[in-house]
Amino acid sequence: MNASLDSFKYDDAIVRKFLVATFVWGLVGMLVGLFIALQLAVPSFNVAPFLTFGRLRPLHTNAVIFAFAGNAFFTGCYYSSQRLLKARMFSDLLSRLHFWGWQLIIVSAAVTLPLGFTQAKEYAELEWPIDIMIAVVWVIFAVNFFGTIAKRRERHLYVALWFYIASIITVAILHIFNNLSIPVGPLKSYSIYAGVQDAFMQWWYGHNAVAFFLTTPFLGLMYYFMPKAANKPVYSYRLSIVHFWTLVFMYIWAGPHHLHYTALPEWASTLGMVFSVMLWMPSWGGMINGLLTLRGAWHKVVEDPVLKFFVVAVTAYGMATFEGPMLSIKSVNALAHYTDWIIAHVHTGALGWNGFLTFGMIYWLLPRLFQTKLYSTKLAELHFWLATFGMILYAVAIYSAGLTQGLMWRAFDETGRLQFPDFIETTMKLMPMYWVRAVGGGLYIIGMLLFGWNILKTWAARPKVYDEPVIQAAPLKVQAHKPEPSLHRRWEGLPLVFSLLTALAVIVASLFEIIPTFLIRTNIPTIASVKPYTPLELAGRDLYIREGCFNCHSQMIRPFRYETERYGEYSKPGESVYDHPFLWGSRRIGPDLAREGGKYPDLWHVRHMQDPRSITQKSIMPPYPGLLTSTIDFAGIQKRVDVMAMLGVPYGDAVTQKKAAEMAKAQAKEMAAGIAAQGGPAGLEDKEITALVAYLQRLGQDIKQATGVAHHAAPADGGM
Amino acid sequence: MSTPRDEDRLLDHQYDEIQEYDNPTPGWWTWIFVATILWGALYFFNVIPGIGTGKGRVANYESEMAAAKAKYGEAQAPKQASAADAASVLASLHDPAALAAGKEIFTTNCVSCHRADLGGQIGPNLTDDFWIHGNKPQEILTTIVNGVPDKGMPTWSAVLKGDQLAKAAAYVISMHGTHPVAPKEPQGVKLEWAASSEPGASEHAHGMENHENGEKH
Repeated sequence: MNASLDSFKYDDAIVRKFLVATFVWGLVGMLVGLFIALQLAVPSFNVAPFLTFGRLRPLHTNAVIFAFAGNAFFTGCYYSSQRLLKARMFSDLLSRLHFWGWQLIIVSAAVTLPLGFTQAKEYAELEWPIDIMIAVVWVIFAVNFFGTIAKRRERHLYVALWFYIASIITVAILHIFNNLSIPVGPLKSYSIYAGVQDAFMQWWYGHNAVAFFLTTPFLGLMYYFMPKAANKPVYSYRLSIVHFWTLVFMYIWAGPHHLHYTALPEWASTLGMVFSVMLWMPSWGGMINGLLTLRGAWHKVVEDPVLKFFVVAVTAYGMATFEGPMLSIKSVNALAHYTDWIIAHVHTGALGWNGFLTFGMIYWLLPRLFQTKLYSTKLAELHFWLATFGMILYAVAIYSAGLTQGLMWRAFDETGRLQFPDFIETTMKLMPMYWVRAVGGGLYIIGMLLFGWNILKTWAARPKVYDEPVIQAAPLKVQAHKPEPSLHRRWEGLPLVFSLLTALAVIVASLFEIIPTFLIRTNIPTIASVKPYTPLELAGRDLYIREGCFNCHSQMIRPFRYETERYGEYSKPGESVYDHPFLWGSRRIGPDLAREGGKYPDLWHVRHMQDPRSITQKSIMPPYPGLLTSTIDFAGIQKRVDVMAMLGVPYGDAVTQKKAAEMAKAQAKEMAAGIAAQGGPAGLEDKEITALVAYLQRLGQDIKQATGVAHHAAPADGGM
Repeated sequence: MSTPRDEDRLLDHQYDEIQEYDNPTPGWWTWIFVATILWGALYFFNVIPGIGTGKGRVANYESEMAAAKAKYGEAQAPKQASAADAASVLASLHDPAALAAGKEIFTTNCVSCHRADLGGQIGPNLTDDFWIHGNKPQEILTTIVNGVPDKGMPTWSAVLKGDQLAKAAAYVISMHGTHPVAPKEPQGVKLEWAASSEPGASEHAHGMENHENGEKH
């Protein structure tokens, strides 16, 4: 043997660990998904306080995104990076810390979310100590990954690694800047941003979490596992260069399309839209390179479940990345926003692209990692068909639900009035579709169980001791330098330059939107009558956050006649300047609450929270009877108000004289007396329900006073 | 459109046995990409009518509202129920089918505050002789039509259609004096319950009005 060659072994033990975690968390995340889907059809499945839709929905999304897709990415990344770089991972210790750290984060999420600890920002719900843990574990992963690149024995980086690099760098940036917050307690914090700016940062993060956690990592996986499984060369190296750079640069701009027609400045919303449309072809570059790599291998697709999964995955990716730009067009978005259409869109991506790519990859890995035959190809085939059929059922049902509700919301009758003014009517129409969705999801999960059985049986047939082949490769320093045919080719051999360029693309693109959002004052015209929440209302707002009300109720009325007829004056940027975090919401399973204040008497809210169906017979809202018995944490209110003041909310006496708790008690006492006088339960002056109702009754009130929108005659309105 | 060529040129590098072709990016891909960029720039700079945000979302909203106002008039303005409306309430009162419909409307929309037996809970008892906003058919209908937003009674004309409003009012009138168990304590002023629920009530309506106006003051 050549003496200048290094001998080393790949670490596949860590890949096996991630693989098992992928399956376990995937099953958990999907079961939670099925459970919350059923909660929408059968409200009695809500078991307050821990197992309500509002608390479990983030558990489902976090589990599927970070636990299932995250572990899937790590599985494929650890397997392929070592082989593409011809090097064992930089450090076995870091690999293990990464694995166990990530699982600990997932367990923390699974415990804290049902307990009601949340930042109220989608896919960034986890509270600050867990956020710090995520940042630390991500840095461990990055050090391990870039360390491996540093000791590589392959000069040039293959396209899969470009996508891994972009993902690792960008996720770190997104995660840190969206989660900046000031702690109020061990598991409670307030975002440093408020209102419009918080919304902007959240969707800059939220959209790019989809981009750099669910898209680019999986494109990387596709670039490795697709040609491997098909045993064919990748279709076009040039296409991979163009679509990589355009994707990385353009994705970052697209976030504001989640906020069309909201109080976000229109220029930002327009930028989000045009970049989303321009993103169509860069996204499709990945699909083309995937599908055309299969040229001449289509006969293999017939017999190989791995390739079948890949073909559907890439097709679903193509559909989702066509639909995404389409949904970002304002007029289409006006119909789809707040409806199940968006839920359908993300499930095309999650079930189809992430799910199927993961299944295909793991079926390909199983015989290689466990060094035996796959237990059953037939079962894998059955898994494929169940998952495909389940996904189609899911999609058909939920697309119809989204369209139905969107059209019902905007329908006017011949006299110019809303045709379905009663919100619950539009909800009831969706019930049959919710059942079909649950059946579709159920089939997908049955497929998942077959998958688990196949993994288990294959694992059971593993050899007593794994064979760990010794790999030999020349270290970089003894490899001959060949002249580089192009500039890009040279970058591929310079990982530091490559990574810096990637970071630069992402950061520059971000700053184009972030700087004006934060610096241009006219973006958020102030409204003099908008005042901070009282200490009691702030405590109530935190209960609204704890119960995850924002998962089903928006607080953002768009400037359309069908919205203002239903909910009242459209929302203005200046209205949420004290909202740390913003609570605009993204889905209306129930009606918008931006103008809820003063609409019903306090007692109505008390009864409604206690048992929504005693007020609205067909309501699907979970009941919260516990709010009538649990006590307000008056002692903790001062700290909350102080932190808000630190963030610039003008609290005056409440802070300087430390009067927050006193003020809250006085307001609660007055409200409780009013509720009792209306014939409601007595003794609510220290109960959580009072704080929550105080908050709800405040919503939208400030601007009513400013514009005189209040009813023509409001003689006895002095109480506010 | 470029079709995949049979003779793909393989690049000389390989990574873990993965090879790459040197195929060009498909022509249609490039052209659509260029087209979306051009369109994006035009849309953003908003210089050509029809491509771009035009006058913006607020201006669009305002013209949408103005158009609706021109077409349908001031639909939102609170309105007094007319004598003709009141007559249709009285007509419903003697039509069992209309009363049944009224009961259904009441059950769906009103029981959460007034209880299924109308005994009152969040809102007042509707079966006793005490009334906050008057007990004549026309007044009851007006209260339902406009609501009492300050006290939490919704503006039902935004939800229910004309004949539904009258039927609901008729059902309320028909339930007067039913003495539900454990009703809410009386609210408002005691008003004489006159002829409104009796057959031929419309003939008495005028006289009743005068009588009540006198009593109120």
